[in-house]
Amino acid sequence: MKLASTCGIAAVSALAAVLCWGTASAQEFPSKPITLIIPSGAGGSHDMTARAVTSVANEYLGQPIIIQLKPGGGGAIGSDQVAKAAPDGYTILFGGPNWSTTLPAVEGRSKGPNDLDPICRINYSPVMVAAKPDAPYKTFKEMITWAKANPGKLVFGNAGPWSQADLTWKQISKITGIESRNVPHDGGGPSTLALLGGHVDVAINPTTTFISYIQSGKLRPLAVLDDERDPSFPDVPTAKEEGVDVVYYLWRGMLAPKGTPRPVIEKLADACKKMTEDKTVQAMIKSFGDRIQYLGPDEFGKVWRAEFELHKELGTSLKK
Amino acid sequence: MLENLASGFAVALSPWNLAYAGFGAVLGTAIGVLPGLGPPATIAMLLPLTYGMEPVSAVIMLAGIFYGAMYGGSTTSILLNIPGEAGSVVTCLDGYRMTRAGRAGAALGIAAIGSFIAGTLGVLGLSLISPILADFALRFGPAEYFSLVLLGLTMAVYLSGGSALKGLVMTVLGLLLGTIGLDPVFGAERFTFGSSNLTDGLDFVVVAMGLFGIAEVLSNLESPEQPVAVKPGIKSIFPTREDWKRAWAPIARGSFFGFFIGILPGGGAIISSFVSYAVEKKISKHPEQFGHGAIEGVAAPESANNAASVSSFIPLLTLGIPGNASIAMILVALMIHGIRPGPQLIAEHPDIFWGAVASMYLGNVMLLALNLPLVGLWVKLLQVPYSLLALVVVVICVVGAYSVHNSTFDVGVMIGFGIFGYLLRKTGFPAAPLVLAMILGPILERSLQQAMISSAGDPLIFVQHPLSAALLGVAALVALTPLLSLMRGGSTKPA
Repeated sequence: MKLASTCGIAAVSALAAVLCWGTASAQEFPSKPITLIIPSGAGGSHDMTARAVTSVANEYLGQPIIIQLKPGGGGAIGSDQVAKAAPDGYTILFGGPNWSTTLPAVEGRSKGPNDLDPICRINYSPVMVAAKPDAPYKTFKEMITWAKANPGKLVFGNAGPWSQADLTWKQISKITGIESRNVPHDGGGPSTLALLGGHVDVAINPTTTFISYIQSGKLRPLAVLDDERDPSFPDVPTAKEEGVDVVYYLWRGMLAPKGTPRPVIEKLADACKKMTEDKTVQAMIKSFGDRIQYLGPDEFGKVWRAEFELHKELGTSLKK
Repeated sequence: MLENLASGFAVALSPWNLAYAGFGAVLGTAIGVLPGLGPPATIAMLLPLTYGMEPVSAVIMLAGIFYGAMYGGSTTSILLNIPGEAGSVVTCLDGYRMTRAGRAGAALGIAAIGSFIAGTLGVLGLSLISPILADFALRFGPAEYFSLVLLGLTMAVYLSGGSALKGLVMTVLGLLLGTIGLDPVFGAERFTFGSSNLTDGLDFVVVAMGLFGIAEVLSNLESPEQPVAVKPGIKSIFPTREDWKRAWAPIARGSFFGFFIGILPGGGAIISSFVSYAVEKKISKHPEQFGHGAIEGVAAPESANNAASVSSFIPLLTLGIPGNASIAMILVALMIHGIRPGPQLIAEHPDIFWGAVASMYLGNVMLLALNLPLVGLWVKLLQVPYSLLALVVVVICVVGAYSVHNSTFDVGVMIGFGIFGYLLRKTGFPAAPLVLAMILGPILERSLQQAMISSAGDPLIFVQHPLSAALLGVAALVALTPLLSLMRGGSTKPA
């Protein structure tokens, strides 16, 4: 009896020790600086957001997050590198829909939710359809009507093959049946310039790209491709309200190699949440014209997976 | 106007802003001299430093780095045949030949002074006619880009010293190399062999370092005698009166081309340096000296790239659109301070616009004061035995190629092109048209596709736009001369 209880105590304490060791190792993480790989070039909107958020990492994580730029292959090079890295939480990826969803879903390049684990979403920028103020259409609906009346005449400026602009325009065209000329550009800056110069009639870009031109009256917003209206543009309807159900989030988040232990993911997600709640970080993000929209690993994982499946479907149906 | 500029000088002349401009200029010169780590990466690293600064100080410092690098970029091109920056690829052609002829001092001197004059003229243009020019940049659509690039390509033949046919071959090869990577319309991979290292195409800085820097070292290994570094005597350090007589007009023309072509986002600075070189060769009374150390061949492109570095601020300051990666980083710095450059910047933040403009006037003076004394130092560096200097060249090229994308793949590409460049020299094929065509090829293809898609396949778009038609006309004229000589002899020099 006594022996049995001694054994029991021993077993319990052994179990406790194991548990303690388990939590201890999670508590030890991170014991060295963490490398965050941004798979795009210096100075882009992703670089800016990442630098703003990680500037306070030391305070909330106990270790700094070191940013390493690994541009190339539309984000594939950096993504591949993180997918291959040890799943210990010390090498993580700055994710975005172009290289973490669309590219793997449509082209089978870069790495998506099958090869990476979600940590958290930091924010997203809604995207917006805009035209010149002197265009013959004043609203999104009128634009569709005009395009139907003049088939193949409307010139649309996308921001590169399978960019947010290209993908959503193809969706809009498919849903409404309009025919247009879809002109490729080398990013959102060039497509905005083409719109301002009148070389294209309509363009889609994040609201952050368009905001100053709308404020100065050089561009007219037609619709926001979001579930809700943008608080900065309360008068601009969503495409959904106008009868075209197209929604696109240009999100930014943190991703880890597949198989990273749950406690490590949680620790990172938790620290990230606190970083995004930091006042200086929020002020910086706000100055970019953006808002923090944090999502934890489970919720974000679901959203990301759903987006991946949607883009996969879109890729097969939109590809000619 | 003058009042605005005066208030701008009041901002720029404050001790702190003066110090920031000086710091930026010195740092810019340093990174310009060392190829590889270019201005965008440097500005990115210094960005956190600017969080606590006044926004105008941040712009002053970061802009100083950018145009300082343009000043410094010519140094390695002239001394070691390593083009550190895109804008100074052409400078290698005659700058390095001048060095080999013992005239490195004159080449560096004319580059610094030409840069100063062009930079100052550029800032003058920036302060006088920015808003008009922004409008000009907006009018430049795909048809106009296509025609301009086509004109640039017809001038590529003028970059070759010898046979027009060989120049043409290299131009076509450059265009082919430019197709590596994703196609602009569908995003399909071309010639990547499934490697994500190639999906963005070859980086021309990496290719140019191989073709110029490494190839030079390889061919020097053949001849055991040391290249003449510098002839003693103070006269050879600075440009002579004769040099001045030959260089002032190219500096003026280079400033003009650089300023106007440099406004165009995406490659404006590079195109302008090539165009100004080709124009000088075309109108020169002694075109045969080009490629063998003609001082005009240094003065014109160096002036062009500095004028372009100033005018490339115009789309940012008046439209809020960055024309290149460095300017994009300056945009980031402004946005971190809650300032969004755009059509209202001049009205809403006159202190930033005019402060930045005024600081550029001052920065140019500082750069001249900094660079002229350095000429003597650089020239002394050439007295190092070539066996050691060659090692330095190889190390600079390897480190430079690696730092472009932090990729060892690029180092391999650079070495491969070094060997290829050596073979080209052996067979008398010019490398410069290849580099130019590789840079221009993707812009040509994209603008062609854009124009054809937006016109629904109607090629008349290129002649219906007046500016595009005019550029095509000039291109046709330029193309005719070497083609005629090609038909006559096949190996005559384009004159």
